Amino acid sequence: MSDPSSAYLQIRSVTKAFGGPAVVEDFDLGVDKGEFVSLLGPSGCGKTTLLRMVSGLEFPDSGAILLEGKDITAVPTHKRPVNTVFQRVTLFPHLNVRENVEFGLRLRHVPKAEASGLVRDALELVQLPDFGERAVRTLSGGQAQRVALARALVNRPKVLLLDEPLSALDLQIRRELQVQLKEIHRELQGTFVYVTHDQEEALSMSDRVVVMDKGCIIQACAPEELYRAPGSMFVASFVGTGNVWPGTLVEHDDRVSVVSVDGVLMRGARSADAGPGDKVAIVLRSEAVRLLRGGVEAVPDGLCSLRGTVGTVLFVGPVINYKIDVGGRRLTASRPSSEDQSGLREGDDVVVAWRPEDAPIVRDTAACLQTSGAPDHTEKGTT
Amino acid sequence: MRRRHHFPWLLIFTILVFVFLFAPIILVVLFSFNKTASLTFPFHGFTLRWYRTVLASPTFMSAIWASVRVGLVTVALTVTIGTLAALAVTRYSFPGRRALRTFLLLPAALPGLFMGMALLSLFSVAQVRLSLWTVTAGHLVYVLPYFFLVATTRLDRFDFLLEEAARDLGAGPWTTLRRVTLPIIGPSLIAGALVAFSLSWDEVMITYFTIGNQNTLPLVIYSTVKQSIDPSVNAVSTLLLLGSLIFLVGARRFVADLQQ
Amino acid sequence: MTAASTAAALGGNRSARRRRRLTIVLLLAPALVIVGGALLIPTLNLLVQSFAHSLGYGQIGYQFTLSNYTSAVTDPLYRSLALRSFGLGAVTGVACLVLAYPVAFYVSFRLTRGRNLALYLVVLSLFASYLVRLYAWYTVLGTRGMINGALMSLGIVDQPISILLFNRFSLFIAFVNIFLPFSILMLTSTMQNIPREVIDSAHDLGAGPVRAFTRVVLPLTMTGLIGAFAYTFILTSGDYITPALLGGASANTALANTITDQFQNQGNPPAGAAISFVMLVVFFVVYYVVGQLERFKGI
Repeated sequence: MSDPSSAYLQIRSVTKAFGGPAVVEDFDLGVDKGEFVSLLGPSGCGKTTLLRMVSGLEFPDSGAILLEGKDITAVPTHKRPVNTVFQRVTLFPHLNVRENVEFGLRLRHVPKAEASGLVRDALELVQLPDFGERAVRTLSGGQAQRVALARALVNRPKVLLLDEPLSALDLQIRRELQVQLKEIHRELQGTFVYVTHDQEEALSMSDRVVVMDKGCIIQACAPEELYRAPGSMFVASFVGTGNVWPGTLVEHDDRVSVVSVDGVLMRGARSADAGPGDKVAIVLRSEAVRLLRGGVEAVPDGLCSLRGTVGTVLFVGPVINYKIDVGGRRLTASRPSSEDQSGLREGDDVVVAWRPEDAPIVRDTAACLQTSGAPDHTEKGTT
Repeated sequence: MRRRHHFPWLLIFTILVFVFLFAPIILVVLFSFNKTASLTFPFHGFTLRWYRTVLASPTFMSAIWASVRVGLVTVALTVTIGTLAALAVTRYSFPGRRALRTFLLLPAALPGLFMGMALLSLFSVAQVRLSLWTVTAGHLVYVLPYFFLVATTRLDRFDFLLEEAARDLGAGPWTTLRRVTLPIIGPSLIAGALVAFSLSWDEVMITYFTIGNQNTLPLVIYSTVKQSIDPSVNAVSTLLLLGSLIFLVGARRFVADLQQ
Repeated sequence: MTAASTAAALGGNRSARRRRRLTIVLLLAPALVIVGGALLIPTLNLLVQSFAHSLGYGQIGYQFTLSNYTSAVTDPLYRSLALRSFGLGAVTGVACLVLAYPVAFYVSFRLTRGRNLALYLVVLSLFASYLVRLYAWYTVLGTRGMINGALMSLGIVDQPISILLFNRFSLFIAFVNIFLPFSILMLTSTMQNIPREVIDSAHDLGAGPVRAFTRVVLPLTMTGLIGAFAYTFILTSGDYITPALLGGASANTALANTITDQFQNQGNPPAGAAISFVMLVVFFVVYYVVGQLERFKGI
């Protein structure tokens, strides 16, 4: 875990406003060399603005950005050793693929022979080895973004910035490129900062995910931790497919916390920071709950359970989603479609069961992390 | 489906209108090759003598040369000034941007008579001698809005993220303009330049007011016609026409880039 | 968080903003100088002159007077001239519409493969020099021109008729010939903006071809009609060259010629300036009305 004051790339208390409320507020982040960090958040949370400040296309109102200890806050874009892959295709249409990729090299007067070698290597890296003489308009979306990646990487930037580069592509291409990106990162051991609103993308590629909202950090940690131990209701709702039910913490022991949701008592994992009487939410991941046929199957020991009726059944492909009516609330549970689905038709009685340690309990906040590293909690109403 | 067996009124009407539009010009071109000085049928035979007369006439030749010079200078200035201004109003957003765009299109809305007179009046008050330079100034303000319109239309469609990408890769502002922006919008600028030249080449009203002792090609046609019936005017007119059409046909190649 | 880093940020921000403002100003300056210097200032100068006294022979006495404007508006000669010019402009506008509309309709709705060629021909005729076309009509209508030649050789008349040229008829023909392409282009542009689906739905709802036209196409092309008329009207009323060439040698052929006459022959710039501003006011009123009508009829 990097300490912002000594990391490779430091973003220190950066604030930026465009003539209204701040888009990025007192933002602190340190990125280690060779790390793949994702900035994850809803539209308008300031992640793109932050990225642009690192690349130099915007300047912060206050704060600083340091690279390898040097202050680059006021350095103009074209002088920064940082390159960006943009969301839209920004390949130059009047140049072919090779000329696009060597653009940065030519600007620095890299000798022709050396440049063409570097270009060849870059195109091989993105698996487009024979595309050098192709015209830009003949490329598909995925190919174009790969060329854009090559064009950025060929300059050996100290930090590579990626602003939702895959969001305009079809799902399959997106998945393939996500894997390719991760492999490229591993091979180059570069420092990547990736902006996205797609949580699956962030979780699958990053070493560390920084969840943002309204210009500040909500939680920053490794993907698994983000998924299994979300720090707040915001993160729990934003990441993963879960049922996030607000309630009040009633009591707890060292392993389990008991939450009252609409009067119903439910057991979840021991909350790290909430106490009795606090407003919390219990998170039941749709794949973590088990469905048992009502009146037929018994609930195993130690599991918490609720009775309900099957509402709608949705076949999604690899899984089947069940919308279960549980005492006035709707719970989404999913099951691999390869399993036996008998007894789970619409209208059937079911029992929903889960192990308490699989159900995190989070505080009902959407507050920002302070520089001190400890989350700052302000009670808010249920969202 | 019903088959229509209507008499093709609209088609015939359209053809007649087109004939009406083109006939006079075709006649002028035709008669520039007429053996006699007559302006009516029958056609007496093919000759190039009027063209030889024109080429030998110092009046006509100096007028043609003047038109060329004025046109080239006007276009050079228009393209430079117009492109810079078009970049300013499309790349940046600032208060009064839209008003400014309208303002720069204003000269196209005013009658040539008014502009010519206003300029002449100013030149006389400021005691500026009338010459081909004053004509160029008049042409410049007349032609600029048209070029500006072409340039802004193209730049409205230009993704300025491309410029940011160039800067990201290490290009300073001037390099970005030279290596990225201008090459991409180039064809439209060329189309605009050709239109600008064509407008200047044909311009007679403002020229009439702002010229000194010289003549431009349209002006020499005008004054010759007012004074006498000179058959070589047919030939000169055809040359004038040729010039305009060359630019139009040339512009067509580049207009495709404008009309995505 | 040190003050030094914040200062760096603020510095970068401020200099970036300053640079941006400077760039915008530099980019715009030449164009503004041209339009301002070659249009605004001369106009202002003319405006000032229109309120000044004429001392004869082009001399101007700069004392404020409204006499130029009052005579421009009340003098019966100017009034009849204005009526003639604007009247001719209006008639030309209508004639252009009458001729252009069917052509535009045919090209937009009936022609498919030939459409681009037809439009290209129209644009071509636009570019084919204004002056050459005037000269062409001059020769066609003149005493030794085409029509007279044909009439005489067919034996219809013994002597060439001179009424064809140097009157309002010749101006009318020439104006229509010159401004017809504009009208055609403006109308085709409006018509092509009507989505095919709108007309199809009209047919779908039971409208025959005539009703589809009067109820759907005509109203939707109204803005094009008004714009084409206004454009033709303004350019025709204020034209100088055509009346000078085809309208006869007098200074009283058209408004534009009177204005020029005041400047050049009568040595009375203030009078000329006043008349031209009155003419300008009429034009702006027309522009304004057209603009309002467009908004009113806006789709």
